[in-house]
Amino acid sequence: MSEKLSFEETIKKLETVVKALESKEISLEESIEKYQEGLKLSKALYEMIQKAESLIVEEKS
Amino acid sequence: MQQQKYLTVSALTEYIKIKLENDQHLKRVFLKGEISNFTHHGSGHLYFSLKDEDATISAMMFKSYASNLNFKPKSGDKVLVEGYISLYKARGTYSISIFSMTLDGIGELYLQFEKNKEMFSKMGYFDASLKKPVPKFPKVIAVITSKTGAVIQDIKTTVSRRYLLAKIELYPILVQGDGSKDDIVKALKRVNEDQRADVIILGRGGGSIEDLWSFNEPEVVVAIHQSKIPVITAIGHETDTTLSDYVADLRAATPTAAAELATPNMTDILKEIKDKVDLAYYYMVERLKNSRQLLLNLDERLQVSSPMNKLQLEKKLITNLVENLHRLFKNNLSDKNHQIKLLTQSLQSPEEKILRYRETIDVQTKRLHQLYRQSTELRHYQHQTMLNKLEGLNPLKIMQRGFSLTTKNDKVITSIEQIHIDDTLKIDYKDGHAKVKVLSKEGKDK
Repeated sequence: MSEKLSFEETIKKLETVVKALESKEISLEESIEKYQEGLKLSKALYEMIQKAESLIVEEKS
Repeated sequence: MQQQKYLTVSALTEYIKIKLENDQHLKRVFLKGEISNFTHHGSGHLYFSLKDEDATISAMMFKSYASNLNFKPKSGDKVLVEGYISLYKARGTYSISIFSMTLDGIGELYLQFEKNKEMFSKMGYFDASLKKPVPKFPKVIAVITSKTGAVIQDIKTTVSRRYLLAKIELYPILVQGDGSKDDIVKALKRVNEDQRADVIILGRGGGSIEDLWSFNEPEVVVAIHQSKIPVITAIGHETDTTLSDYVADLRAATPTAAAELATPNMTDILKEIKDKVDLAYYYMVERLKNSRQLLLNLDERLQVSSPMNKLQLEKKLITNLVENLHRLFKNNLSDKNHQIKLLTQSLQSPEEKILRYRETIDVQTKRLHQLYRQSTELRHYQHQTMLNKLEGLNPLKIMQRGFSLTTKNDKVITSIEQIHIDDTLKIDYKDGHAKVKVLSKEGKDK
């Protein structure tokens, strides 16, 4: 997982993964792989938001 | 003779006229006074009086001189005139014949002011498009004004109250009198050469129009016009407007107002900063909220499309298929069962059938008997009837009543046509027969 990606880029990536998963053509094996990638992306994104939120709350107070 | 010492009016008047008009002091008189009883005669000549508090003198101006006037004289105007004293014999009045006249003092200044204002206006010096914007956050404010006096003090006080970040540089000038005009022009040039100031305040306290006159001088107007640094003027009182005010980028009523125009209010700035920070915070929070929502949606979709769900679905599909298989198999079985049952049912014992057939036969036989009997009775009856009829038709019976039967070769003769002469005929009677020979025959008449 590249740490350099921005929030927007990462969420775009997650979007692509989800779209792939939602497609009917994907094989089960492939879907497991994609799903794991999606979970990682989602976790990273939540962390990014959490961090941003804690930062602005800190700044404000 | 005594009459000799009396002069005529004309002679006296002529004498006075000569005296008056030959006086060196009265040949060229410079006079100042106020116009009254002004009339602009149809001929183009001007007639009026000039007066001060204690005295009045008639005045007239010929058309040729009047056409050179740079203003429209009217009663009440204070004027400076140049002329000579003359006497009008017919009325016995003396007057001053004027060949040049200008407005006195302020009046003349106003006139110049209006003329210059019109000129600069026509040259476009006052155009709004030329006004330079005053910087919002000046670092250095150049103040061109008197070293002493309230102006610089007011400006310093105001700036220190509002915006301590701005530095004030004083360019001292004489604000009135000789040299004032040049001072102002030089100071403006110097500020521009020094290139330190972001804005210039050109100021002077209140005074008469003569006191403020330097600020109406064309050289000063041009210098302000040429300044690359924006100029704010604060000259005289609010009611005084100089040409410097017209050409300046901004005009303030007082030095304090000029300082306010030149500086932002720190309190306002702080409030603005706080507002901006609040806005930024709000935008950040909104943005994070949106991002979080976006992520939540995606995450939900991710969970929905997870392989686990996919597996569950597949499993369900398989279960369904198996269930279907079972059901189909079961259905098939029960179908077959049903068929067998039907077939078994249809496989009933022949005994019963025979019994049924027998019954049928019995019924039919009975019916047959019945029909037969009925038929026999009918026949019997018909037979009897027939017999009875036959009885009636029996030829023997007929013969008993006396009739006979004639035959020829066993053929019954019913007509005379059947027989010929010499034919042998057989005649039957009820108790025998006879053979006869035909002797003659005769048909009945028809």
